[in-house]
Amino acid sequence: MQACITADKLSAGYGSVPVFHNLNFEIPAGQITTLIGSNGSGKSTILKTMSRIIAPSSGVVHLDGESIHKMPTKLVAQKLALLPQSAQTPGGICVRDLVEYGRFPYRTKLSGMTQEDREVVDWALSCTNMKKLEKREMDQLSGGQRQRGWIAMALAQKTNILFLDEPTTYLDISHQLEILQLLRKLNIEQSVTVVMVLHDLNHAVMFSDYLIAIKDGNKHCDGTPEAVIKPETIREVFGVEAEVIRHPVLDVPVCLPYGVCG
Amino acid sequence: MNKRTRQRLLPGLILSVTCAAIMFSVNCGYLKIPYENILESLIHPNSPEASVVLLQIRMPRIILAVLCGMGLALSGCTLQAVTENPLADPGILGINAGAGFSVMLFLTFFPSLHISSMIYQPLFALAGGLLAAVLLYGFSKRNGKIRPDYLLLGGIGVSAGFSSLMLILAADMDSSSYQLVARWLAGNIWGSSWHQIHALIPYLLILIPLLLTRVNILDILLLGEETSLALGVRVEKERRILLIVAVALAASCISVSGGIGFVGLVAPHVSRRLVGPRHSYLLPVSMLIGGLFLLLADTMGRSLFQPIEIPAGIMISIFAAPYFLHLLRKQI
Repeated sequence: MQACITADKLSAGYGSVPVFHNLNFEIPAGQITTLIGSNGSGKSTILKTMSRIIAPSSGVVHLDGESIHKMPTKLVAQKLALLPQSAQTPGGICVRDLVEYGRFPYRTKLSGMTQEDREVVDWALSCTNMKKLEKREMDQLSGGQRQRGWIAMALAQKTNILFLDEPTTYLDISHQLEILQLLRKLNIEQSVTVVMVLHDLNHAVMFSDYLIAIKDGNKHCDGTPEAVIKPETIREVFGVEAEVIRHPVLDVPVCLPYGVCG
Repeated sequence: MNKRTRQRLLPGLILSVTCAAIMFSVNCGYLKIPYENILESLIHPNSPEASVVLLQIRMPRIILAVLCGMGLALSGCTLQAVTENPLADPGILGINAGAGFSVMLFLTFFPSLHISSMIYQPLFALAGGLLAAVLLYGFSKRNGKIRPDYLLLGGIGVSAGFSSLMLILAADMDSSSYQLVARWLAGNIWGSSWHQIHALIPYLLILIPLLLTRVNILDILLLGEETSLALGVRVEKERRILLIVAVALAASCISVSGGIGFVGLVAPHVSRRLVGPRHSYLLPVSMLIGGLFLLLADTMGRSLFQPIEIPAGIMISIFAAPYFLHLLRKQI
């Protein structure tokens, strides 16, 4: 397994409140890695620290062997794209404008869009199936289309690594699957390394190669979905009693929770 | 007309309307100047037939109105992006009040400097505006980061604070100084001369290009802090630079025009409706619309109820305050 990002004794938090402490892990290159854990377990904070949005209180995140928090931030943005949960859509902006913002890391102060920029934007739009909607305003789109627009913006950064914080929140089931299938497609066709936070365990199993279970700011366990999704793990990480059966079509583990522990 | 066409055609259109407004404004007043004389005076300002009223009174006033409107609109547009709040404006954020307080100190306590007031007044206004901005910055900082939502609230507080300080100062002033201050506070462009334009232009020549090099960053900032950071914008540093540029723009304009509010709020809003949120179009169009607005306000103020002149700042408020309330209602 070749790692593209590693966390080395990483600690971070908000103000004086530590969220996680002395974490070590490796994100395998070319795979989809999903962080799972209950609310407030620190998954989002870990994702933000790994993508240099939050400065760590100690420890290092290595990207291609360099400390990500010391690299020029525009250079990081050429290697790693992040879609935060809190992204706000400015009113009146059309899809193509938004995707063009993804070229920011490559632009100097005064340069306009180059031919290459335009080609990359076209490519990102067609990858996400948004070419037909490029002139539409983001406000007028459905939740799923909007999320695809944001993913297109991240793709326009032309990075090998894509971080997403709960990309399926607020979407209905078909849009959730649509987004996750898109991520899998990008992972296979463009060999993009995907790292995300998901709440739905069964989606995590279906669309990930590697799971990291987080409990109270610590790595509880990690490994393939087969290895991680077990009744004991679910009980310890989420405090939930669950039966794990096989998916009749996909032959992967399926988690069926039936009650809160105790 | 779709948005792309508007983005391409509007700057030229607004410029022509502004030119027309200037031609109209030149002849709004007691003394009518024949149009052929206007052209003649502008081309040969030193010829004996040149109109003194035009060259020494009306032209500087018109130019100053346009320049101040431009500066205030740019400042408002920038503040709206930095605070992530479309209701931001140098007046609302207390920068006008800070600059006003400082200019009042200048007029009260440094009478010896008044002779060169055209040099010192903008500097004092700048200091006051920056002081307001520093207070605001300190207030809206939480855990080492600016909270844009606190900026607006803090601004209202800063504004109220400086306004009451000004009232206290005014209570102890002799009536002639007080009148000077009151006239300045109302946002008055009358009595302006080429000196004020000379004092203002260096600031604009530095600050406006500085701002125009940051259109891409302003665009990104609207996506929110985390997305901006992810795209490689150093958010804290950029916010600080943009805040200083916006304050400096507003303060330098205010120092010569007086407390003119709402231009910075309304011009960007109207422009956003016309050309959308991208700053490469929004900033220039806001600038032009701001200039046109203030010119129209000043022209109307001095021609509606002759011989009484209504200060441009008051005219703007009469029209813009209801618009502000309308925006506020829509946002809530």
